[in-house]
Amino acid sequence: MAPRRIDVRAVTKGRDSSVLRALYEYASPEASGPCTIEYDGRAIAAREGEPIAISLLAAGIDTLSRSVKFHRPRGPSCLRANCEGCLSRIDGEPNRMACTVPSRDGRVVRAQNAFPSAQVDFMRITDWFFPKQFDHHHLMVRYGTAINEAMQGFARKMAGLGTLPEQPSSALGPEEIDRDVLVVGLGPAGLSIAESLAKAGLSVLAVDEEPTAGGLVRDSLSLHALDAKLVCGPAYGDALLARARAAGVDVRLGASACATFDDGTIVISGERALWVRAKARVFANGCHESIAPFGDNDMPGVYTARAAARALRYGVRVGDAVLVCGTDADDDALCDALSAAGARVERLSAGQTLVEATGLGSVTGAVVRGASETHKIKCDAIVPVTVRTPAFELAGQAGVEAARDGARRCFAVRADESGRTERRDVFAAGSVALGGRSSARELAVVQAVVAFVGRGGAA
Amino acid sequence: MSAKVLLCRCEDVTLAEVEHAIDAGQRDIESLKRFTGFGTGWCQGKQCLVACSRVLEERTGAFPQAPVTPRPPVHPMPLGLLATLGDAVSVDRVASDDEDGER
Repeated sequence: MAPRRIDVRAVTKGRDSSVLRALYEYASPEASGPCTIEYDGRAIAAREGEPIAISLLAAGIDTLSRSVKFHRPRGPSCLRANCEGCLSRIDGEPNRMACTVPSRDGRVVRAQNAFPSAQVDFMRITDWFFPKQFDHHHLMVRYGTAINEAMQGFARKMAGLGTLPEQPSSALGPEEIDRDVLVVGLGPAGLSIAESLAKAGLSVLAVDEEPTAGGLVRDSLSLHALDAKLVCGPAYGDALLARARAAGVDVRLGASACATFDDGTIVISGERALWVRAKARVFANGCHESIAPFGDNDMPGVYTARAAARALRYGVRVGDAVLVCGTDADDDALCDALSAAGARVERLSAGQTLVEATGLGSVTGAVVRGASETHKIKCDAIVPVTVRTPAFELAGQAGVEAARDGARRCFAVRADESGRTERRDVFAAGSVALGGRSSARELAVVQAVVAFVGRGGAA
Repeated sequence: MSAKVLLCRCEDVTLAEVEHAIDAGQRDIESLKRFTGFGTGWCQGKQCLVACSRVLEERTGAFPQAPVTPRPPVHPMPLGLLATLGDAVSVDRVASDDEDGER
């Protein structure tokens, strides 16, 4: 795979569209200086502050790990901490998601669970030995205990995630925080709700696992209306973030709400755990991307549209020849931006479907089926159509049962038009809630939360 | 060799495996999860739950009424950080949705 860092100055020269300017917001040479990281003994030129997964993609390295059972090659696919493809040992610590750790001079990155490396792993033989499936729950259990134990021991060596860290944990003590409201998720819904709640006089802690605010809109390559202007995603997210902060919201970015209980929520923020006690919890934590089912869909070189857009924002194209399967406005914008960045873009025509990715290590082509024929496309990256599915899990932990969303064929948090749920202290808004995003619900949820906290807030 | 369709990347669960499990009688999402192990890995089902539910729908005619029970942590967290919470968080804590016993 060839290096994929875009010459931003050359590409943007003479172009003045706001989309293009926003595309390279993190990638301008002024945005960050050069640095060098080490990957499996090699020195890799990177840009300080960009995610390590992006630095490695830019250097032409897309295979970062191996899958647990088949030892199939894996690489970053989501670039937003939702998959396992970039799990690496970084600075002696196992299981870091390379898409979440910024490059810094001297950082040491190693592949884990691959023999001898992520690029060449002899245990791939498992993949060929079990051509359809590897049902470890039922394999070998009928034989004697000794054979079973030997098999288990072997399986544990081959599978698993990483080995223990070199240093004991240097974690700081927890920060205990008491607030009227905890808002989880800082997309447009969460940001506007947090701002309005603070303006209504409530104390608000708002967290998002991303290092930046704006959610899905931030990654969108189309323009969005804000104060009668059309702006690109990052500007939109930053503007809403500035308003929320000006209104007095305590915003923590890069802070991941991991578990929520009746009397508090655990948030992991860098080297520190937060224990957050809030009278009300508002979940506006958006959607995941569901895996797209096609042959060898887990191969390095398969990216979500969101990941491909995100890589461009760091000045890196995910491929030199990219097959983009979606057809909505953001997919059109992605194709334009990829072309501007020097990639050859292929799209499916009407009636064509993606059958499988081809390639031994990472993607070198795709098989596409039309109405009457099947043919092969040469490409080194594939962006399939993925389905956005509401992240109902946290609200579920809080005791709100998720419901089937028949129209979207997924699950969503059951909330009424005011964002109220079956738990009096738990509210949901934005695309995580049943029925999807609506600005009416975002206004109503603010009133409902203010009224609830005003009554004393007892759940 | 034929291509594998991965439904759960984290635990290497294939479409063939899920279809086999459904045909073997695992016709609700919770049983399907317990049988195949989908959704029990690093991402805790963020990518695979709906994909598996849709296969179940195609095979049985019904999309599941409710998802599998979400349990903490929803996002991987370092044990070292969890350990720092010892004084703040009591050990007999249970998630709200576990109060009804088996689920």
